[in-house]
Amino acid sequence: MAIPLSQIVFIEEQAAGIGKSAKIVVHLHTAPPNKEPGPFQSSKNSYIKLSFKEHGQIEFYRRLSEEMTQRRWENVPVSQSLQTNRGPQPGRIRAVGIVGIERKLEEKRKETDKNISEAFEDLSKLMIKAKEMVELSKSIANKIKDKQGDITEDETIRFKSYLLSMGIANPVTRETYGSGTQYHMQLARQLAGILQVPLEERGGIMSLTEVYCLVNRARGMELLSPEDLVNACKMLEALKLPLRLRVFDSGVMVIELQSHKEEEMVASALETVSEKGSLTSEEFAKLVGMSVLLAKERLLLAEKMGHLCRDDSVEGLRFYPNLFMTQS
Amino acid sequence: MHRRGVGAGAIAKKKLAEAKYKERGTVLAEDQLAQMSKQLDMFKTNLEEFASKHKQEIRKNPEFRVQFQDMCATIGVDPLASGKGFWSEMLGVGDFYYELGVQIIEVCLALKHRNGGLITLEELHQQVLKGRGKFAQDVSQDDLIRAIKKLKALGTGFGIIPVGGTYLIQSVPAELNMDHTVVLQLAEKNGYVTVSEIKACLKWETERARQVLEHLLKEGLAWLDLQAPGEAHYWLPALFTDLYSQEITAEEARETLP
Repeated sequence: MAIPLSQIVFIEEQAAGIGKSAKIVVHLHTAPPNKEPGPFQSSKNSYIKLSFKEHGQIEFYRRLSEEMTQRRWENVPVSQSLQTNRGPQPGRIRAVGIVGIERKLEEKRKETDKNISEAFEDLSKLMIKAKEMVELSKSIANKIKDKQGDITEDETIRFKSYLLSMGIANPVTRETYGSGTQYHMQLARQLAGILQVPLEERGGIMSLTEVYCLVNRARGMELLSPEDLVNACKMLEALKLPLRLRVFDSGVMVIELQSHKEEEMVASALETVSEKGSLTSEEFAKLVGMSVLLAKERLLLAEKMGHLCRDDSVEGLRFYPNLFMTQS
Repeated sequence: MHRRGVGAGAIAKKKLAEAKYKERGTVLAEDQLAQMSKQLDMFKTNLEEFASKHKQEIRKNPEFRVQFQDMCATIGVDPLASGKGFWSEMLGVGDFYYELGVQIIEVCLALKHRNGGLITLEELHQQVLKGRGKFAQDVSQDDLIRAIKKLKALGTGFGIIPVGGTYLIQSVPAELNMDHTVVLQLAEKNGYVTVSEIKACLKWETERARQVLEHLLKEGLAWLDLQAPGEAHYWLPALFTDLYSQEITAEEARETLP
């Protein structure tokens, strides 16, 4: 049973009361003469009422209002001519062959609608079950919080992996390895393997965004979420792997080879800047063959260590060797 | 004597009761964990069934994805938290959004030199669709926003700034506070903004307006036009509609990975 949206003139809400459910009143145009037969031949009312026994009226009203505002049915002139009662439109010629196409489109739309409403129903049922899982996990988390130290490491790990499967945020604050689970530990080891060579090719340091793209492009499927990557990287140092996660003051996150000493790179950065007199992040990046993001971080670190000082103007941020230090 | 005996006994009793209680507490948690494990298996089966019937719907229908995401958020579940989650594994939602994340990063990097790291959601949408090619699944603006929200975890300054009914996506860690954001919103109308306009609309002092504009210039988000009629115009390349149609050049694409 379906009514084209184009038949709707106006919609209004009726609040629920004692003994009566919330309703949405849908005022309609008069039916077009070629309307398909429905549950009733005719009605003395020019509106229908949708009754919402439990809930859903707010969402339904919102979506229906959106559709009424967007009026997407007006973008498809072909199917328009069959359904609405707008009278003859100037310039719209209805060729006979179109009717068959319109019917097919209509059928396809009905079937899609049916599929979607079935999908929504099934989705709602699924969500109810998911909610039960969330409630259960909350109750377990509370128990763990209360009994600090009485839950074994094993049980905590098990619990964390359950949460990971469901996509429930970890509410337990006692963390040894961040939100790390067995999965993340495995992942950390894999990353150490995958990233060794790319890191060496890039001077020992890569931003986490670069790593995310590199790793996921290589995988092709079963991709890592950004959080998976971060959680795995947080465990690198603890697992004594040859890479580490580093967070700069600006919040930029990078992966470095353990052997990489950013502070030493600063010395060579100072040389480069001195040779050229002064450099912006972009110029430095181009010279050295780094991304602008990491170039900037290196120059900022050099500044922090007192080797460079900045000239901040509308022309951009330019770094100079810190002569205050060297020539006093 | 008698009293002390009772006292000691009472303490011992209490200790025993506590120990039993603790033990019981552990047992209770163990029970619940076992229960959760069983329920998880059942849920996994339900999800598999759902996936077998409706996986296509999620792939093809952006509206349905929105519904799905909203429902998950309502009950406190993040289907995109991990690629190892059931949702990702069985519905394939994960791969869809994580790959989109990669594409978003690449587009933003390629265009950064043009717009300083600020891009409208529309332009990002267009460029991403172009990059995906004719036969790829449809991607909605809502999808982009969700993917970007996830990318924030990578710590590289992805931000979403509401302006005039749409959004500006920030992809570099430039410091943008409320003042900067408000001026960006003001600029959205014409693609540029002037000191007088800021003073008139926002009722600010000249100095405050100048500082904000200077910051935007420094960060490469605004360009200074001294040849405009009247006073200096501050243009925001992110808002240039002409740039929408321009392709990402091969050189720009190469710039993304040094």
